[in-house]
Formats: sequence, C-alpha cells, structure tokens
Amino acid sequence: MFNALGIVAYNDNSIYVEGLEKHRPIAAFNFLGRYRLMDFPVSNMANSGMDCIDVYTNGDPKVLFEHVGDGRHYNINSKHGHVGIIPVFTDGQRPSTVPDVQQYYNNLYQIERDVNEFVIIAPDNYIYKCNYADLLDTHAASGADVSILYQKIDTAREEFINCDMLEFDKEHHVTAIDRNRGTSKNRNLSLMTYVMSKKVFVELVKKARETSSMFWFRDILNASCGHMDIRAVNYRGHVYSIYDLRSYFQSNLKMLNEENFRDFNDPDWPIYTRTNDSAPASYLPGGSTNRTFVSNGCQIAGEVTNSIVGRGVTIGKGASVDNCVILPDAVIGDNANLCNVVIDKGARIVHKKDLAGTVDEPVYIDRRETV
Amino acid sequence: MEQNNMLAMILAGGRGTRLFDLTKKTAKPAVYFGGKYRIIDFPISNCANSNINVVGVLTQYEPVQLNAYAGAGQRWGLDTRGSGVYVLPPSEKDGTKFDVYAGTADAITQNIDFIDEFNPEYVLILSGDHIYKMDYDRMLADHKANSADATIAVLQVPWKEASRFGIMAVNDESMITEFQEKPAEPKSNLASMGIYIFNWKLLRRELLADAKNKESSHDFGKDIIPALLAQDKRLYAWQFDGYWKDVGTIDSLWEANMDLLDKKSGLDLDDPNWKIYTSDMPTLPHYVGATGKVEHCYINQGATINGSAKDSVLFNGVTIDEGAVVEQSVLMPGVHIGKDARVYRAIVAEGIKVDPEAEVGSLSSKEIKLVAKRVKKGE
Repeated sequence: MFNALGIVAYNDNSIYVEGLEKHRPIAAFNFLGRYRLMDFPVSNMANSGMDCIDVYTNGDPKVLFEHVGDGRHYNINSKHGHVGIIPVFTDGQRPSTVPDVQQYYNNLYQIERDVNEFVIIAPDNYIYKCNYADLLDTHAASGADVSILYQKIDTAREEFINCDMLEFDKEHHVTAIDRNRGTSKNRNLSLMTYVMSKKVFVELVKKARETSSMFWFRDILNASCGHMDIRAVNYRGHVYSIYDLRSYFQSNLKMLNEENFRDFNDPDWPIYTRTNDSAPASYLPGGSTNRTFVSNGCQIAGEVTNSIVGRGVTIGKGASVDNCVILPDAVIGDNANLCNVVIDKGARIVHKKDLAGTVDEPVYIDRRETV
Repeated sequence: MEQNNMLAMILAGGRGTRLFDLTKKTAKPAVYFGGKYRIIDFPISNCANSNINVVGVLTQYEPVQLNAYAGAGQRWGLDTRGSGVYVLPPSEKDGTKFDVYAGTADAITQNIDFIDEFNPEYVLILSGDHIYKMDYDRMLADHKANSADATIAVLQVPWKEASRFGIMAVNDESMITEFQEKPAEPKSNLASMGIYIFNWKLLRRELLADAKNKESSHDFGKDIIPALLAQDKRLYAWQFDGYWKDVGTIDSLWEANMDLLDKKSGLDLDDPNWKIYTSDMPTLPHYVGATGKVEHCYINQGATINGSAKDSVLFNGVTIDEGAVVEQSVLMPGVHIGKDARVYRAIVAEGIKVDPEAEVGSLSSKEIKLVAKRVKKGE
C-alpha cells in the first residue's frame, strides 16, 4: 500500500469516438469482451496498492455507477478505501464542456481531506500495464514537481490525431504539451498519466481556475512548463489508445496477438471487472472460432475468426464473422456475413445480411439497432 | 425483498467416496461442475432465487475449502441485513460429547439453537450434491395451500428403477400414504429427492423425540418421515419435472457436464431470471488461437485453446497447447494439456498437467477416466 490518491480522468471534446460515445462515456466503453475501459486504469491502481480511486466523468454516469457498485470487485477494501464515480453536476452548462479542472476544483475539499500524500492521474482511454508504485519511486527520485508518462511514436502523421504530445529537452524536462495535428511522423505521445504531490496538484488546480475557466489540466501543465520541473518518463510497454472509432476497433483487435494480451492475462496483475454471472459460452453444432476472444454467456452456431465477442452474444447458424468487435448481447442472425464491423450493444443483424467495412474504416452498427 | 419465513439447511457433509480423488481433499459439495461452478452453487443459488435469506450449510468431511467457499454469502447476494450463509460443522455443546453428525436428522438436531435464533415458520432441508434448478418458493406456496405438515419433493423415475429409491405412495390429492425405502415392490414411481419442507415447530418436536430414541439411525428418510406418517400427519408429495441429477459418481458427474452441451437436456444455465451464482475470476474471456479448433464445447472464461477441443467442458484457466486433442472430456480449473497430447473421455482434476505427447483415456472406453495426477508421456 502506498499513499497516492488515484484519479481516472476524462478527455475534452477533441477526442470523440463516433457512434459509441453517443451512448456512454469513454470510461464505460466495452473492451476485450468483458471489460469496460475504466477497469484498466483502476486495476493498475488497485494492483499497485492504491485503495482510494475516483473515476471522474462528464458523460452519463448511470452505467458507471452500476459497474463500480461498492468497488469490492476491484480488490479494494471497501471500508478502508473506495472506488467512486464523480459525475458532473452543473447549473445549465453542458456537462461535456466542463473541464476536468473544474471538477477537481469542486471536489477540492474532499481531495485535500484525503490522507494520501500523492496524486496519480490516468486517462480513461489509454490502456497499458503499469506499476504506479514504481512510477512514484521514479518520480520521487527525480525530484521533479510533476512526472508525465510518454511513449515515442513514429506514426503521428496518420494516427493519434488530436492526442497530447510532449516536447522535452535532453534531460526530459517537458517544455510544451501540444496536440498532434499530424504534421510530423516522430512524436512523443503523452499518456496523460501524471504523478505529483497532492500539494502540487492542489496548487495547479487553483492556478488553473484563476487563469481561465476554460483550462483543462493539460493546459495548466503546459502553461507551467517554464517555471515548474515537469519531467517526461518513458513508458516501455505496449499502449492501446482509444481516440476514435478506428483506434477503438484496432486496439480491440490488437489484443488477439498472444504477445499483446499477455499483459492483461497475468495472475499477479489481474484486470478486475464486475461479474455478470453469465454461464460459460456454448458452442453449438456448426459453431467454431479461430483467433478470437469469446466472453461468457455466448451461443455460437456460426464461424467467428479474428474477432472479439462480448458477453451474451448469439452467432446464428451459417453466419460468418471476421475481424469484428461485437459488444454484449448482440445477435448475429443465421447466414449473416460480417467483416470489419463494430456492432454495438444489443444490435441485431437479421438473416442473410452482408456487412463489410475495412480495417481503417469499420462499419458501425448502432446500439439496439436492427439491420 | 420480503422474506418468506423459511430457512434452508443444506446437508453438505457427504464424503462422496465414489468420486475418489476428486473428494480426497475437498467435500463433495465443493466439487467443480459445469465449467464455472461448484455443486453447492446450485442449492445456494436456488435459495437466493427463491427468496430465502438464511442458509445453513452443514459440513463435516474435509470442510476447510467448503467452509471458506460457502462462508462468503456475498457470492450469492446473501449478505444483506437479515440474510446470510452460515457454515455449521458439528460442534461441542454443553451436555453432549463432541461428535460427528450421526445422520441427516441429527445434523439438524445439533443445530436447533441456530434455527431457533431466526425463529422461522418453515425449514427447508436440502442436500448439497445435486444439480438442478428449483423454485422452493413455489413448493412452499403449495405446502401452505395444502395446510401440510411436511412436503417432500418427488421425481418420477422409471418403474424398473423405482426399487433403488425412497418411494412415496400418494392418494389423488398427492397426500403421502406410505413411504417405502428401496422397496422390492414399489407402490409408485415417485422418488424422494431428499428435499423437504417442514413446519419448524413440528419438526423441532420430532427431532428431539428422535434424538432420545436409541433405535433410531437419525435419518430423515428412515426415521423422521415414517414417524410422521405413523402419527397421521399431513405429508404431501410435490412433483418436480425439471432437470435433476445426482452427481455422486465419476460417470454421473461426467454425464451431467455433458448435458450442458445438449440444449435438449433441460439443463439451461443461461436463464437470466434464474442464474446460478458462483465466485468470479479475474481472467480474460476464453481465447481460441490461430491453431485452435473448438467444436461443440462449453467453455468458461480464462481458457486458452491452441489445440483442438470437441464435445468437452473447459473450466477457467484451462490451457490446451498446439496439436493436443481433447474429446468428450471435462477439464477442471487450471488444467494444462501439453503439445500433441491426447485426452479422451476423461475428467481431469484441478491443476493437473498432461505432458506433451502423453495420452490418457480412450474414445472406445465405456468408462470415464478420472485423471488426478500428472500424466507423463508413454504412461
């Protein structure tokens, strides 16, 4: 157990995942069949020994409340610690436009009263495995005011558009945080994971509010680069980021590589989620899968390849599903043919329907839609 | 939810000797079933779904694992105010010697104080070693409608097998007229399922009387039911027609697992209104790799399949390596089947490793092979 308060943060409007985000905040997105995205940062925190975790959201918090419950399934002592959801409550302002800083400011009393000495912030849309206890040690040893995780990327021209990028000098002192406009290939992707003392955190939040009501936490960090010691810390593992439909689709499918999913298949570093008490998956006559993750509660009578299948999905007889991400409770009818499709929760594809997208432009089927 | 004033007592002391090594270190009710569950999840989930809030689990043989498992009532949602799952091993009391439970009735007698604490109107007696889904609340409703003193759940069995069971002869109103324990000439084919509802005051009195009877074997079927019939009490048979299976042997345990593969067997665990609850594991959904092939299987999360699996039930954490073949088998949690190994018609116990190229069981065998220790190549 170490003394850091965990914050799972949300993004501003520059990140928008078409389709999916109409129905739930990014933190609640289904991922890898049985999880919601928030499970990944919260599990990192819980496994690192943190037991006070707040998930901030500016979307509809209903599903998150149901998902988190008393937080016991995150392996956190619900008496000593807590996992909480902090939704936006506003008087007229559109919740989706409320900056994270405004929310931190509104909760400053609770944050200051919290016994933890440090604060670790992780975003809801970057998935990676990280021991924050080690990160905190690195941070403390460096003497920096704030540490930010980053990763070098060489695809910034096509990917990670609008995501935060770091500029830093040879000693890893961050000089600027800006958005990727796709103008150059090699950049340093900010993992938007910030470590600092609570004192520094509170100062930054207050300063941000004094500066501008439009400031997000990234803005005040950027504005503080010159006069605070903000350090970039290299993250060496795999990172999966969700910032549009394509990246959501591709991040899911990347999990089909054994080398990639190993990070999340570690008995010593489990990913926690809420159980749905569904029975194991049934393969009916004619049902088969290959290079595929299948969640519990599924009934499979067709052929599924290179796909992620959520809980309680039905794959009809003679159906063929390739390179698809299927969210829970969807029904794929008999003889349907799907390739490169994201099927939202509870959607129904009726008989003999052919749907095909491409790897870069998957077709999206809306929640509870019948095709 | 409003309580129905019925408390359940699950007799979970069975040793399960016919399950051999599966029950060497664990009590029979804690034996794994159906890819995800333990046998005792069925009666406890039935209780939770039947609006019963207090469940006593009577243990005696190898109870450590079972105690740890059953004691966490949260798994079945039985941890709210006024509800709970209580593990009740035999205990030393004033004036009695520390002993085991002498019979099914004695197990309840020794826990009269426990039951009295909750002051229930009805007590439901269950056994912890059957696979079935039953709404005990409906059984209670009929018990009340009949103004019964006791109601016994019964199952229609084939006439030629009736002499293997405790048989209830009934009149037109399903009132029990006679109880025959394993009769040579059965008067009906209604077999007792070992599921009883009693009015607690009556049962309490009867148990105390039975405890004093030196001749008694302190058993519900042999002693309590006949004694109540002799007193002309109102005993009713309540007919159950769903799926029910005693999984007391390796073969029957295997068969019940295979029934999950057959949609017509009547054993459906996907009903959202009657879920079977169990402990959750923090593992990924099951994964079938590029070299994996799955046909007609029942597979829990956490399994990784790079070989081939057919007509099988796979538990959490099972790994089947490339080239391995598993057919008509039940692989319990954490089983690892090595590269190019063969497993046919077997139950492989928790955590067992079958080495690469090793072979166990046979498709032509009538019997089911129990694999409880590591299998090496050439064995």
